[in-house]
Amino acid sequence: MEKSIIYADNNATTCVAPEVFEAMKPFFGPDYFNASSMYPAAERVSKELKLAREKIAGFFNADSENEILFTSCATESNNHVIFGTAAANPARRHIITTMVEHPAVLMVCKEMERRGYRVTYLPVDRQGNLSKADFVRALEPGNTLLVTIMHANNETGVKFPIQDLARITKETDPEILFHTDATQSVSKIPFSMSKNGPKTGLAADFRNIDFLSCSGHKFHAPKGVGLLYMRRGSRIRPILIGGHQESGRRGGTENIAYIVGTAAALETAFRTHFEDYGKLAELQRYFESELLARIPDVEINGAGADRMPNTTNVSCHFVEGEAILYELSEYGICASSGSACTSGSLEPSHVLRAMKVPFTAMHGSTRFSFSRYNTREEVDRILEIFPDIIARLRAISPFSRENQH
Amino acid sequence: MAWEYSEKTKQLFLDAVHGKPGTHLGEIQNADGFGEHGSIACGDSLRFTFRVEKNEADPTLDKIVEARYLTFGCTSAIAASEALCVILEARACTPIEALKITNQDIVDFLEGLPDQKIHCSVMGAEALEAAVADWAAKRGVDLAGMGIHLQEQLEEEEEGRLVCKCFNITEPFLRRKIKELNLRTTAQVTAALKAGGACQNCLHAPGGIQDILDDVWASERLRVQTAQPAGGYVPVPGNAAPAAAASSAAPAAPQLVQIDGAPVSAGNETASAGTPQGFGNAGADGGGALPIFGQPTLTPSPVTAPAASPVPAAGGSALSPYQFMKKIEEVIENMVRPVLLRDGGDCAIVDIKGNLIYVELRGACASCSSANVTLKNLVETTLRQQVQEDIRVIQV
Repeated sequence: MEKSIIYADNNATTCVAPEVFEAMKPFFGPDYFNASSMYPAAERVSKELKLAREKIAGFFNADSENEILFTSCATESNNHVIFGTAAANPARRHIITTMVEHPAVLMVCKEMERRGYRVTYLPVDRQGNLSKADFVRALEPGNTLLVTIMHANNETGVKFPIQDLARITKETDPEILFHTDATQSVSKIPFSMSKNGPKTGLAADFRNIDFLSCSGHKFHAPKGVGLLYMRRGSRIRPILIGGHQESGRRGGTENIAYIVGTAAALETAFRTHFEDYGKLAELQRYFESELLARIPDVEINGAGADRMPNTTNVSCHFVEGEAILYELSEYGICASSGSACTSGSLEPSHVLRAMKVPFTAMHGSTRFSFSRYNTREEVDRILEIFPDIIARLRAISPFSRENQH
Repeated sequence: MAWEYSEKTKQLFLDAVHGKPGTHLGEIQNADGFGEHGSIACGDSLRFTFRVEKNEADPTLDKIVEARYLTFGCTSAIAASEALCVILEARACTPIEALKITNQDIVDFLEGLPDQKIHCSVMGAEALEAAVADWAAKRGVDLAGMGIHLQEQLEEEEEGRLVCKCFNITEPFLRRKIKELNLRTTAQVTAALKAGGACQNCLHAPGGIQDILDDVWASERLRVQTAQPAGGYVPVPGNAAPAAAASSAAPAAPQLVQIDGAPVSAGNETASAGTPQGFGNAGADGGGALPIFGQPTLTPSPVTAPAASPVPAAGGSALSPYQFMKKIEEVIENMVRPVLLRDGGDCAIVDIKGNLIYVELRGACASCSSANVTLKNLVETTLRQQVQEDIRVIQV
């Protein structure tokens, strides 16, 4: 990299934390053994695998470490839940999800439709919120197989009240399974999976959630490792068959280095996340109030909703997001956009469309997502550069407030 | 997906955005030629204007001396607009000669464009054509008389059958561009024209992009080989696809039964069985015959789980789903809400599914930590006593 960068795209991926890298090193060197091997040299490896599982179960406040499954990514975890529960509960043919899920859930649901399932895609309002009444009406006791609703949205950071939705689901019909894709919130929001409830009042009570997916690389572990929380006794079949690993629920030699790295990353997160959360929330308030003050015709998408403290999705009317990103990159600022030109499909973000963001703003959306490594100085630098970029692109644009198409 | 722009494209974009002298950002007032292409809904749009040095004796010899643009779009859309102006001013040609400038000239000037960005160059060429048509109209030049049918083409393409609804692209436009740009696959069509790039429904629909491609190139092959008219897909004015589907489906449709002069299909028959006469029976067997979807909020949903269907209280009389719902509403209204209102709270029924009553608490109740207890104790007990023993209340 020839120039220093400001990395504000942490919802896409994060850097590997130094302590995570250190924790992983031995498994690329002397401790390369297969965790399933019998000889004493492999013992350390299988011990570390067990320890990692126990640690993570502890962070999630799970009732058993066997409820933690290691996968390759959150996409695999999501696929596992949807295909696996369908295979194990053939009598049930209805799935409930939302219009704003990550493609790793949305596209799998489309595939389920092709296989003859009915899928309800819940809409969101202008702020990105779900209606609980819509949710209740979609539930079909005796017929609904699975509810799969994300915890926090990757594009806008808007959080869904999954704790409540899961409770309503279980009170309606305990046989309906509840899954959440918590890729964007694990390590940022404390929660508890235990049937006995959280140990402290700070953690969200996820006792009614059966499955939870996440991915290591969103919290400073490497890419290529995911987690799946699977409540004991849940009706689900494996999708990767071919080994006794993970108690036969997911075949394939365990990726020891990355699993240890994931545990190490979560350890840091859980040691510091309360202060990180506060720091990020403060930074977000500052960043957004300054954006609104410095740029005319701008809106923060999901501003009226309960949101993650690290995500700011800002729509600047009358300009196009890809050009914004290109200009930002000239200053070494890494961000992303929901604009059609960056999506690879010529279609703007499905999340912003579901929120009915106007066309004049949709193509000009830019997402800044921060991590604990971002500083106030970096935010100030973005605030210095970003408004000028918008002003310049608006000078080129044939559209303006006076001349809306 | 990293940027794959040429150095030339990047430089043109940055120069334009930073207003470097010699760049062509802007709009000429009272322009001799004015053309637009794209729209904000499509994600890019170009407003193109030019000025000519007028030849008073013969307007067809007007010379383009200045060109300007305003562009809403990505890096390459802005660079392509800039390129178009540079090319035009360098040629110092007449508007009619300018029509020879193609999107390929723009791509070449930019030293290449990524495949998925070709449409940026096409937008430039299209805006230029529109501006030349505008110039001809203003200067009284009879392009049609010279064998150039720009105006007619614009009109035909605007009014033609809509193929890609996402980007508002019509069949005549597709046909012309497929030939002009030598597009052979749907992927090439999408890259160059955006058509089919969003919902993708029109790619393989009857009368869609694949059909048009087949037809354009099939007719070409036939003309070359046998000089006979092409078969295959025949464009139908208006909404061609459903019309064709309907006519082919008609003979295969099941026979209709005439009842009192009204045709009733098998599907309608089922629906008519769910009218009031059938309602009481439905209640007695658990309401399984009622339609599940599209019902008003307060209609009790039928459920397939035996445990969740409305079971009459032991020794009580069976209620139809409608009576059941009415009774619930009545009890909530007369016995539950007055108590809640007294404490500054309120409640509303969100849904009823069999014996499950979904209730939303409002006002003081909503924030009350003992809200759940309030519900269980008051609403559920009251409903169980008054309506049915197995009722369960769920707080929403």
